[in-house]
Amino acid sequence: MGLVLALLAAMAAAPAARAEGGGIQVLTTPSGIRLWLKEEPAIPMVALEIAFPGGAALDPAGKEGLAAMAAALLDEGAGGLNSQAFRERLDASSIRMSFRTGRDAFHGSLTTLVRHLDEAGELFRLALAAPRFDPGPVERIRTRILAHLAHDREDPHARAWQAWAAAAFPGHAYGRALDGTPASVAAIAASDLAAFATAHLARDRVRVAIAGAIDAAAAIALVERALGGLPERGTAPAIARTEAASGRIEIVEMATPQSVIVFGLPAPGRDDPDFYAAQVLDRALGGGSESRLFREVRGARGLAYAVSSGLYSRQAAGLWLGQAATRNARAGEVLAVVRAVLAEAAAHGLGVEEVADAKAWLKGALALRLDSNRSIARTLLAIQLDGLGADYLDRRAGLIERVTGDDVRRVAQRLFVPGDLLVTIAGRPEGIVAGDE
Amino acid sequence: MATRRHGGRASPRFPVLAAVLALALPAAASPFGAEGFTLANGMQAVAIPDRRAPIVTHMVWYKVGSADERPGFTGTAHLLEHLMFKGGPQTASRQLAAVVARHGGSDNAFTGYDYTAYHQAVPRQALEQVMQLEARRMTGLAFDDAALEAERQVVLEERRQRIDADPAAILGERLRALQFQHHPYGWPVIGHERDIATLPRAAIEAFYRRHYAPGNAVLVVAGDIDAAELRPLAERSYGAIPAAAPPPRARPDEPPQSAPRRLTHEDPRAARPGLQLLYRAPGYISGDRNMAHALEVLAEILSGGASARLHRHLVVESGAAVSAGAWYGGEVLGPGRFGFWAEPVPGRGVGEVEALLRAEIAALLAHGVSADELVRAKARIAASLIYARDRAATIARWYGAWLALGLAMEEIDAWPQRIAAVTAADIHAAARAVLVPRGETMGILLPQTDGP
Repeated sequence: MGLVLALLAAMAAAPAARAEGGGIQVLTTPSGIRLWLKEEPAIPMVALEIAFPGGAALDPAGKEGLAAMAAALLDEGAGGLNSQAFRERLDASSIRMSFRTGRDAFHGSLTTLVRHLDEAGELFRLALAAPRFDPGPVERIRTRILAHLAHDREDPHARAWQAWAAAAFPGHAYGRALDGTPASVAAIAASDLAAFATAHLARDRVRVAIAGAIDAAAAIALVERALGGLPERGTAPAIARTEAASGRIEIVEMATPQSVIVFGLPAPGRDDPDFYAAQVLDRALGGGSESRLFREVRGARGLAYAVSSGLYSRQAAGLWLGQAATRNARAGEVLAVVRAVLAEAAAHGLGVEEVADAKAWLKGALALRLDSNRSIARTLLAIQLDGLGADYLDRRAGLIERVTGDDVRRVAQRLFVPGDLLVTIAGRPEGIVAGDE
Repeated sequence: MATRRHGGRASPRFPVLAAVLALALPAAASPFGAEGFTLANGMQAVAIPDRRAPIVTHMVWYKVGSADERPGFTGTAHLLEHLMFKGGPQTASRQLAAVVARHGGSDNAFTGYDYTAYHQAVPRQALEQVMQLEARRMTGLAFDDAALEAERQVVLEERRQRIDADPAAILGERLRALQFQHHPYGWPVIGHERDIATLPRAAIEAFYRRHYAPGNAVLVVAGDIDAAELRPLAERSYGAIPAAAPPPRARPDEPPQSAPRRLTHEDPRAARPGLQLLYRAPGYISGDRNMAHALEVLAEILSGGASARLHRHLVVESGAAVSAGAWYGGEVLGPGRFGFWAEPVPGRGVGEVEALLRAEIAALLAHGVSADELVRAKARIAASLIYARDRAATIARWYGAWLALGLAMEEIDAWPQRIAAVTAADIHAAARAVLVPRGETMGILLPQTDGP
């Protein structure tokens, strides 16, 4: 969409000039917090997205699920407001506030009408800087998480994905369950939650993106109000670098009509020169109805409803992952088809048209994702978390265009080494034996 | 994980939206800037301008869904929807997918009881090409037997994944069958397994020829376009298709329910027990529309926002439930539903949350809702209208669904004002009319217990 980017190192609290072409402004608040802003005056609302790098991967051993539990509790009472009072204040101004954790970052999201901007900023400030973690809400949320974990135990998709993570990252935080286990969730105390807030929710860690009907001065004021009172520095460490294990098949026995098959490999991460070639390869193999996995597994054979792949650039490891669900009797056949598709790509690369189509899709898809203030804010935040500059939206097309068919073939050969695939299956798959390759 | 072409359960809800028409618009104008027109061959069209980015969402809605099937042929509308993506490389279906992909776009479709919709998100400059190809697909579908048989297996896998693998979905399917014993809303949109496995090619093609025609379709384009720009594009594409008389939408009626109904679904995989309490309710189209508006606000009071009544009472104060809420499903051609759900905390019984929920309903019937609750709920609905405008594709879905149900543009545009006019007395009267014991259908989900 040709966003013209303007980098404005705005003076503290001074209204920055509107960037030409409706571009992105990079601003700094008086207390030193950086924020990216896309002004969009058409609708009288503002979307704010923040993240603190770290997230669930930094949960202490034995306290897995801490970040997730903290996320569920930040809007359950803060400052002088108990849970009910806090939530009534949100409702009274139709403010939407939520928190969640990923493995690599802890996220907060705020949506408000322009006329309630001050109230929204104040409530966001309270949630982040003065969460109460009162016993009532803590026990209620603990109960809810335990019920959710019990549900996941019976969900073949959740089990297959968790089994993959555990097999790929033994001994590393990425191998643990994001929401914890019944034992670890039971072990989390209010003091752990408070310690999490102190270590993670600090000014030096926060990334901020805003889109909506708000100008630079008001955006700076909002962020300063909401985040300026946070401690200057957190103490959470970086996530240890790792690489996924490979070359095994693990089966999680479950009495379900379908087998959920998850397969994956270590892949180039964000900082790898082959990252964009890997994106092109992934799109051609497992993205959309013209992709090879979709055509071979679903289109030609009717073996699965859902079959797809994705490239995941985690902060501490790059991954290529795919999944399919099929009736138990056909699980062996699906896995054989998947292996054949990967072997073919490694042996011969992709066709000239396939490479061109995948590049065209990748180049166009970003603009189409920027279809709302909410998704613009999320995208700007994701770019920051990936350590990319505000000029990335302009540079990205060139990075993709540069990928050649030879690059893709080299990456396919690097990735799809026979016997390297790590496969986990939940169900009662037929025609597959667990064990090392 | 992008799962394509989902069946079932498509129920684009009207926004739980809004009062605010405080926008400086004349009373008759759309709060979304929507503007409609009709082509000479009877195809309805609406443009919803959003100039923030040079992108559009393009949708074609057919006024046909699972409830237009015959017994023994359930799942026809949904399997046809899947087949609309099949064909040789030169067919409109495959070319459409290719054009969308080359522009970085996305395309998909969904089937409900009352409509089937196909949609794409593309840059504005690809719109005309997409419209040309979607128009060709309206009458030029061409798939071979191999494609049909493969897609039949895909849909059977979809059914396994969506229904058979999920105890709560199985309960939902059984409850529908219990609640609607004559009306087609009682069968699943995706179809019964045996029907899907045996649907003959001729029946699918006849269904397609009968229902896929411009006079039975609605075009919705939202984004970087307005009605004046859309009209010539629509005339050049869809306008070239000959008119055909739309088929009547005659369906078996559901007789009034005369006694409460109840079932318990036991499943060893049901790790989260719970209950669903459903009532027959007026739908927007076939029922009392004023009552529909009142039920919309009632659902918001009971279940909307961060401090909703049912959550506060059952989850926070009594501590008996993990979750609890209510919903209104009135965006249907036939009978609507008003529903409640609750899940007990581990170690406490479904019976306890059922008793608490019934006490809530009794209190509602006795005392109605407070003036404060009403004001707040309407304000939240008004705010959600503004939030909804943040994504043009969301607005496109609302207009498409309502137009496919046969609601007039003016009626859709006036929805926020109708909601703003709802009174506490309206809500009390609607609750008393709908939440009656003889009209209830209760479903309980339990983990399987050993022994008798």
